[in-house]
Formats: sequence, C-alpha cells, structure tokens
Amino acid sequence: MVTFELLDEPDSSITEPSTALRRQIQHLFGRSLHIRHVDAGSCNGCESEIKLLTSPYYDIHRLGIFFTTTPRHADLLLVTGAITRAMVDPLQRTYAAMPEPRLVVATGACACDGGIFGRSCLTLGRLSAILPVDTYIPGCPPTPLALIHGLLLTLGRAEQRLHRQILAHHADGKA
Amino acid sequence: MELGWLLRGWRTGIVTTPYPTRPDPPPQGFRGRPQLDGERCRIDDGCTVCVEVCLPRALRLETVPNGLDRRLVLDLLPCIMCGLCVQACPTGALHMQSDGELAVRSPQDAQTIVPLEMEVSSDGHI
Amino acid sequence: MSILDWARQVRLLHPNEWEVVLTPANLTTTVEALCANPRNHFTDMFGVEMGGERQLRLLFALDSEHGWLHLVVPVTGDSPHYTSLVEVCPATLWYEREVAEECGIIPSGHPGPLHLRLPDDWPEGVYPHGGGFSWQDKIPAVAPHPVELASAPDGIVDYPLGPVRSGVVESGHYLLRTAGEELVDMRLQLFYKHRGIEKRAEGCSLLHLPLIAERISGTSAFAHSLALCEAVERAAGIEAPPRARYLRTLFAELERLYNHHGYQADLCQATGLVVGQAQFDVLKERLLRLNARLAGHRYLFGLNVPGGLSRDLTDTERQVIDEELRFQRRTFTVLEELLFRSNSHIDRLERTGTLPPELALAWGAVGPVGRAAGVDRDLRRDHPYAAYAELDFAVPLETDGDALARARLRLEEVRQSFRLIDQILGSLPSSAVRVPPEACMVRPGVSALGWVESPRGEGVHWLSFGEQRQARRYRVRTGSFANWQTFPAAVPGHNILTDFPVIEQSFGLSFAGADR
Repeated sequence: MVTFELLDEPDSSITEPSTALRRQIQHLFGRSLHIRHVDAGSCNGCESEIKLLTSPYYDIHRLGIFFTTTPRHADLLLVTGAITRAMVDPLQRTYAAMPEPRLVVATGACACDGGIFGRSCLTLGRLSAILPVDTYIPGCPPTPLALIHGLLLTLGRAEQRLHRQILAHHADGKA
Repeated sequence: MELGWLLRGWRTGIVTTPYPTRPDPPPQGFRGRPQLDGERCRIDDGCTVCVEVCLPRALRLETVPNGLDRRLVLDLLPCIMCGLCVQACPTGALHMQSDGELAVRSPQDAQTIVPLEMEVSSDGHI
Repeated sequence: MSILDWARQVRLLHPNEWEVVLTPANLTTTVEALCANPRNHFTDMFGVEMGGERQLRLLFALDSEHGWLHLVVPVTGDSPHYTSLVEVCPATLWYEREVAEECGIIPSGHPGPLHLRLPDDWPEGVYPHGGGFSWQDKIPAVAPHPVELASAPDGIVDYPLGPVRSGVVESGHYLLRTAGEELVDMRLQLFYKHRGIEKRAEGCSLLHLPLIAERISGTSAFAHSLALCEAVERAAGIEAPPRARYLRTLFAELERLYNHHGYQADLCQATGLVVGQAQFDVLKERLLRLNARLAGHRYLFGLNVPGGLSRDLTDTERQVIDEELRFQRRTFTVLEELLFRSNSHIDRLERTGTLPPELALAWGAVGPVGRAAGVDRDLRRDHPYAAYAELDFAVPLETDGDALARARLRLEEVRQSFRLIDQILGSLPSSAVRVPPEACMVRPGVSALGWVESPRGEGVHWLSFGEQRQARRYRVRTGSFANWQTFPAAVPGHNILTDFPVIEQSFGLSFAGADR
C-alpha cells in the first residue's frame, strides 16, 4: 500500500504514454468515451460544472461522451480536488479497477497543481504525484466549455491553445 | 401532466451551445486567465508585487536549472484566476483574458516565463 | 429571565456579541440553563490555542436578544478534561469529537469514539489546532486506525456505499445496514475531503482570507466569503457602505436561487423525472451565466472583499438582472405547477425521509432542513446582516419534516428570493461599494463573529487576529456540518434502492462544506 508520506518523491513508475500509443487510444475512444469522475477533495465547484455537462446547455452526449457509474466501464478518470490524504487510497483503487487503456484528466486548479492548498499536512496537492495524467484542465472551477475542450483535447479532437511561452524581456533603459 | 412537460420543453427550444463547432465566447469581463506581457514587466527593477499577492504561487520566481539565473514564471495550473495580480501590477503587464480553452497535455505548456536579466557578477556571468 | 441577566461577568465584545468566561466545573450547568430556553440555540464548539494557552469555546445563538454568546473555558494541563455535554445538549456530539481530535481537549463520558475528521493514518496526539505546527508541515502517516463498528447481527447486511459512489457526486461514505431491501440503520463516514481549510487560513492576510472562505463550499462561495468579510469588518469596527450591503444581499439571493434550482434538478434526477431535471438545470445555468456577466465568475468568486465588494453594478447590469428575473419568475411558476402535477415525483417525496421535528430541534438542524421540520429560524430574520433588516420577506416554515416538505420549502424560498431581489433593484442606494483597505485595521488579539444564512443553512465564522492583520485562528461551522448529524435519523424504515437517493438529495447537503 502506498502511504501518504511515501508520496513526496515523484513516482518513477509513472510514465507518459508514447505518441503512437496515444494515437491508438484516441482512435479507440474517439467517438465513444465513458467517464468515471472521482472527487478527491474539491470544493464542489468542479462537480457543479461537471454535472452541468449533461444539462441541455452543454449536452455532452452529442459528442459521444458519457458518464458511467462504475470504474470498470470507464475509459477516462476525471479527478477533481486537492487529493486529500483520505482519498489517496480510494482514488488509486478506482484507477486500478479501470480496464486498460485508460486515460486520466486532472480537473481544476486543485487537481492540476494544488490550487490554494498545495502540498500540505492534509493534501497531496496534485494528481500527477500518484497517477499518470494525460490532460490538465486548469480553472477554478473550469467552465463546462473548458471541460469540453479538455476532454476533446484528450481524445485528439481539439487543438491545444496554450504553449510554453518564453517572453522576450525589455525593462526600461535596459533594452 | 406529460403533455405539460412536453410543451415546456418545446417552449424552451434549443439552448445547446454551438461549441465546439463554433465558438461560444464567455461574457465580457469574465476572468478566464491572467496573461503576462514581458515588455511591460518590471521584474528587472526588483518589482515582485504580483509574486507577493499570489496565494497559490502560480506566479513565482524560480532559479533556472543552471543555478545562476532566475526567472518569473506564470503557471496556469495552480492559478485560481482570482485576478489579484492584475489589480496589483503597477505597470499593467498583467491583464485578465476571458478565453477558456486552457487544457494542456504537459504542465510546461501552461507556463509563461520571463527570463530575469541578472546584474553582471564578478565572474562575468550575466 | 434572560441568560444575560443571569450570568454575572458578561463582556460585550461587539454589538450583539457577548462573552462569558467559565471554569470547566460550571460549564454543564450553564449549558443546561441556556438549553432550557427554546430560543437559545447551540451553534458551535471549538478549541483554540493561543500563546500556549488552550481554550474551549462554545457559541450560542440567543434569538430573543438577536445576539450571540461565547462561553470561554480556559483549560490547562497536558490532557485537559471537561464533562461531556452530550447529555444536556445532544447536538454537541460531533463537535466534542472534533475538539478532542484537533485540540486535545477531552470530553469525559463521551458516548462514542473520539476520532472524527482527521484521516485514519493521522498520528494520535498531533493536534492541528493545538499549536506547534503550520499547515505546510509534513505529518507522517501511521498504521490506519479507522473507527471499527460492531458487526451486523444475523439477518442484517452491512452495505458499504462510497467514498466513490455512482454519478458525479462528492466523496463520502455511508454504511447502510439493511434487512432485505429495508434500511434499519446507517453510519456516516464523512470527512474524506477534509482539506484543513481552517488550518490553511492561519497566517493569511486580509487579501487572501476571502479566497480561502470561497473554497469552503464552491456552491456557497458568496455566502461564506460574506460571513468572513462581515467578521473582519466587525473586528475592525467598520461597516460596509450601504450600496455594498444591498449588493451583497442581491448576490447572496442570486446564489440561493441557483442553488435551489440545482436542488430541484437533483431531486428530479433522484425520482427519475428527467424532463424536470433538464428544465431546472436550464434555470440554474442561466443564473450562472448571469453571475459570470456580473462578477466575472460563474460562482461569484472574488467579489467579496473586507470592507465591501470588489466591483460595482452598472445600470445596464441592473436591467439585465431585472429581465432575467422576469424570465425566471415566469418559468419557475410553470415548473412548480408541473412538479406538483407529476405524481411520480411527488409520491416518492411524500412521507419519505422524515426528520421528526423534536429531533430536528434537539440535534440542531439548521437552514432549509430545520425549517422543513418546524425549526423556525432564519439568520436573515433573527440576526439580520447585510441589508436584510431593511427588506421585507417571509420565512417559510413546514412541519412535516419529510422530503416533500424540504422540497416545498425551497420552492417557497425561491419566491421570497425573487421578492428580495425586486426590492433591492428598486431601492439600491448610491454610495461607494468599498471602504479603502487601509480602514480595515484590526488590532492583534481581536476576534469577531460573522454569520450568514447560506443556501444550505447557517454558516458561522469566527476569526481571531494575530500580528500584521493576519488570521491567527479561523473557525467555520457550516450548515451542512450541523445537518449531517441529523441525516441518519431520517433513514431507517425506508427502501435502500428507491428511497435512499431521494432522502440524500432531499437534504441537499454539501460534503465539502462539512469536511472543510
């Protein structure tokens, strides 16, 4: 069992899938994706937005994306929250119950990189410390449109808009 | 009874967003994400106001792996889009954008970096 | 005779906020005397450590005085004890466990285990609010020591549900004890989501405290940041400008509206009325979009600041609200009528999940859950804050205590919110919306209370300041925390498959708010 304190060092067994594998997965899930959501210590803002994905305004079913009740039927794990100490084990068990290949999406500032909590005595601070994350959806909480974009990006059906930017810097008088 | 709901649904019409086929922009003033303008940033003059007001440390000063240079990083992953940095920035180098397509595959892609020009040190490093 | 005449050393801290210092020996009699008056309500109990000295603090709402009474019990020694209050005031059950676990002040004679909110692998004797470490310190894990339950008798089956449950829901664990399909008993194991918000707030500045309060429960963000900001303002001895007070009331009611629409949508989902769910989701989404336009955030984050609001409302925006409200009112009336004509929906709510009124009162049920079971309390009326004292609204009350009563009560509250918003838009004073941040001067050692009637019940925030206007101790009691204690009482005798989801949704509680 992985205990909370062992999680300080990055887990070397967590690796990113290769590009070829990723393309194959995207092909498999491209038109039909089943999501299992796990709340690992969110404020309920993310859940509220995720729930609205199935409302008439966003109707995510039209994109071939569905929510499923059991991880055994799920292709994608959608995780929210700052990964509280008590949720580490249930989260890992949920992931283990999913059939391969499986995708993991970190949703919201807390799951992406800790948000206001970070690594604390009660929170792990980021999902990537325990699971291999395919896509990060920042936001606090991410809007339903941001969630749709993130899911489509995971499936290879959308373009990534943000890229690492190194800005040229010219402060006054030093340019 | 069923007829009533049916009528209600029919009256509501189609409300579904055109996204992703067509864009569905958020309202003006929506706090989508902060954006950093390197030209106007005065980090060189020792201004670190934005770093000080940022609660989740989305704005931070980092040491470059070579161990000598430092840089200002705006990391959207932990950012809670509160806009405190935008209010605090004295030169207007930070502003809030309303765009929502922020998902990235790799944490580095969510970073904006301003390299920090160091004073010339004794051994000639810049 | 009022308790304020009876107690001798009462100190007035702030308007409507009194404090009495007691010894552990006379705590029980005082609490007993306070509980004897049905208009006094136990509200909160927590431990505080300051400069090596520990205090047990209790908070009572004195409805007839429109005020609050703090009972302060200084304690000494390595493992300080006091006599458990559960017998004189049953509602203290969870609170005493929390104080014992997080401050090390032990209730002698407490009926249950003391472990409550901290994770199972948390070492014993490490007290988050007992001083000595900061929120960033790493606390090593020990062998998990969960609360063990007696095994089920013959013929009874324990059905564990959670923490990862079906659907897009928050994490929490129910242990359902069933005889066939009938539920005979249940145990709650919440606090999987305990993020240590109160610990996180220690040492935070006035700039950052509202950001933390907003994340206690994202769907009651405005209510919680409002309670926090009012606490800061009381501590500083200032008041938000009139326009800010009215606008705060406006946004608080907008938040109540979208929450109550979401509540009806969830309830429709539980009874399988999918069209109803879709229709209420439409109303909710429209309000969230309105929020985004007014505040730049769909859940009104970043709006409350100590001393007022971070942005004003323009005349155009006022008209936008007015138009949206007209649509909401019209549609809501139709939907409400349709709901009551949908027998498949109403039949499943009627006499389901009944919380008996006497239990609701004794266990301190608050907010819509309490009011649906005859607890006639609403902080907006009984302890007015923001601009509620100047506005006209009714507090609906139901006495059946079942799921239908809770649903009906929220429907009526929506109508009252419409009324409130109409009044605010018609009588919005013109003034600044914020006092300058420099005016928010809080002296070290000062503490104050802020309260709010959030969509899920009363939220009470207590804030004490240290040096440099930084929070030294932050304590939050949310409506959900108070109401979760009463939840198991509504479950026995119902069907696990058909009734339980309805009961759960009809309470409409938040896990995040309770776990903090």
